[in-house]
Amino acid sequence: MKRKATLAIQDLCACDGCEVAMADMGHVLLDLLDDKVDLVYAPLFMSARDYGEVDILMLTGVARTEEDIADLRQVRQRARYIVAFGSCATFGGIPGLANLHEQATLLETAYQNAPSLRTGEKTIPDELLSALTGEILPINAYVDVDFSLPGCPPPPRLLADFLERVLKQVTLKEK
Amino acid sequence: MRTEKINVASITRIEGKMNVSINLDEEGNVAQAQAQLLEFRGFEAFLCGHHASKALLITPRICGVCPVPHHLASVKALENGLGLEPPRPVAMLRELMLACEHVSDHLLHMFVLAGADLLLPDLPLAQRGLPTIYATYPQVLRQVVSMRNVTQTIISAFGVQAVHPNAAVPGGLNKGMTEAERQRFLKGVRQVKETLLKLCDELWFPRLRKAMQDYAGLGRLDTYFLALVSDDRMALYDGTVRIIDPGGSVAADFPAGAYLDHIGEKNINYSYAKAACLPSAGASDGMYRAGPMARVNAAGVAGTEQAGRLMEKFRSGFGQVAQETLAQHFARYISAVYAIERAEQILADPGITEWEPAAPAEYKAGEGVGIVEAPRGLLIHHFRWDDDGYIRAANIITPTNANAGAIDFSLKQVAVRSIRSGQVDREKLEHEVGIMIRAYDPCISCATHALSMEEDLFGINILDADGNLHRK
Repeated sequence: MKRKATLAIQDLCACDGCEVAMADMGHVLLDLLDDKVDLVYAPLFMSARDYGEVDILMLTGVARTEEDIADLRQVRQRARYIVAFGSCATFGGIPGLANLHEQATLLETAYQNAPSLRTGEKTIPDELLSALTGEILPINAYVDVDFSLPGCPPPPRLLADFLERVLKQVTLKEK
Repeated sequence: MRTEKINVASITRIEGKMNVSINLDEEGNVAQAQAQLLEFRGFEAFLCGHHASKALLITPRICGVCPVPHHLASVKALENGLGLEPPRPVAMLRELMLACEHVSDHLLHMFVLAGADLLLPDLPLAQRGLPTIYATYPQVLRQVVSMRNVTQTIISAFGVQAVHPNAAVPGGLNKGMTEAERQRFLKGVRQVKETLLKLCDELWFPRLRKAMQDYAGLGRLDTYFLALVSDDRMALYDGTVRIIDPGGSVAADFPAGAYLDHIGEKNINYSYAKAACLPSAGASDGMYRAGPMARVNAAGVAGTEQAGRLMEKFRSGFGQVAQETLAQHFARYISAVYAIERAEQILADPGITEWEPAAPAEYKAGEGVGIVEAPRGLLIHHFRWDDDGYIRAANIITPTNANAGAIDFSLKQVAVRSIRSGQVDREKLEHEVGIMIRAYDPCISCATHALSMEEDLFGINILDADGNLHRK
């Protein structure tokens, strides 16, 4: 029996819609788990806390904090193929709209100007929290990616076809 | 006291990233517990400058797990400010989409996210998740996938794609439903109802009952509850907002537009989530919870047959107002059954196929509030726009903002069970914190729509009295 390909899904600053699109593959996803894919890491779906080395790493979302960038710089040697999964990872996506505003404006809007905020409760949170990146860039600014699959999120059927192709690539390289 | 960093497991199987910090007092006992939500995105700021009609496409991206309620809260906010009332079939089809989202989302949580704890209680924590559930219960997961396929397909029938939908416009929907679709969907929804009730009767509910015995009292606290009701029944898409006090009495009923008179927010210095509260009742006393249990607590009756039957069972166990944190799972089951029954009721009405394109909305300076029930609870969108229709101010309060305060209080109560005089039972702490937090089904992306920061996914930090990280 052929070895299953190992797959990890790692999210950065994201909405998790790409993971839901994967769940929406439905029976196709379960068929892949039957004989082609060994899902080893996906924090939305499972409690595994880390992954060692994988055949395919799918990255969703954008790097919004310095911490995210540090994470991205470590993944290249852990994955044979890296996929920028979804429009955020590929282009910056909707969170990238934040680039249109000064960081101070983003924070003040949320924590000082919201009409529902009570007087005297307007301190911008800073305790134990990691710093924001100056701007949002596609993830290939930080790590070399092998494939990009845009879509917000990629439709489940497109995603299924895409995975089929990448899985073929993994087995071809094995021969 | 010696200080060290403690690396406790990431809290997985929730939507987004959260750290947990526990502060110890001089004696090494729990002084304070804090859930830190580590993301920030800035939606309220970057909505400004976009045309109001674009909010319908932007706000669903707050959350890929529950995009439909964001889409609909936005369109209701626009209609509120534009003075538009959608025709009855449109309102019904929107409620159908929302009901289907509730079912899809609850199924994912009941059988995968929290389901892993209920279905695989004997597996070590790190091994619990989708692959092991599927390996152990392949047929169950196949059935769950078939059910979600029905509800997600109905959403995409209007919305192009279930995540993220593009369906509603002010006063209407981009697309109607054909009679053939109505009949096919009705058949599908009836099948889902039957499968759901059977699966829960035979497997899921007995497992929940067992978990509730194993973790009796975990994270219990007394709070207010907020949910939409319509004529004293449960409601998803439209209704009045009801505040239930901790004793179970109705404290207020108010329309969406009056939300600022009742609901406030406060910043949390250690988290990117703001905590929503009821200012009239004071800071911690004004803490409220939103979500399935709020919906069950707020409504006099469910309004559908099977959900009504389950609600009676729920009340006979927990009284008029349930406060047990783990009872939220039972309430989520009721909520899923209610939603599928509402979907069935709507689809049984041939009148929903009467659809006409809406006339393009005419914008002048305005302001509007839209409120719906998201799967995780009451969701509020509030926009103000100028004469050309461009957004000038936006405010969004999500259910997880409501639950942020309650989660901290539940956390403290859970931490006390594992930490005494500086002795920390790490395994128990980690495990029980996860069990408790998943009962709330928090959505970090939603709660931190304002901004986004991340550290290690779901670490638990324990701090000593000086605020230094402590390891025992």
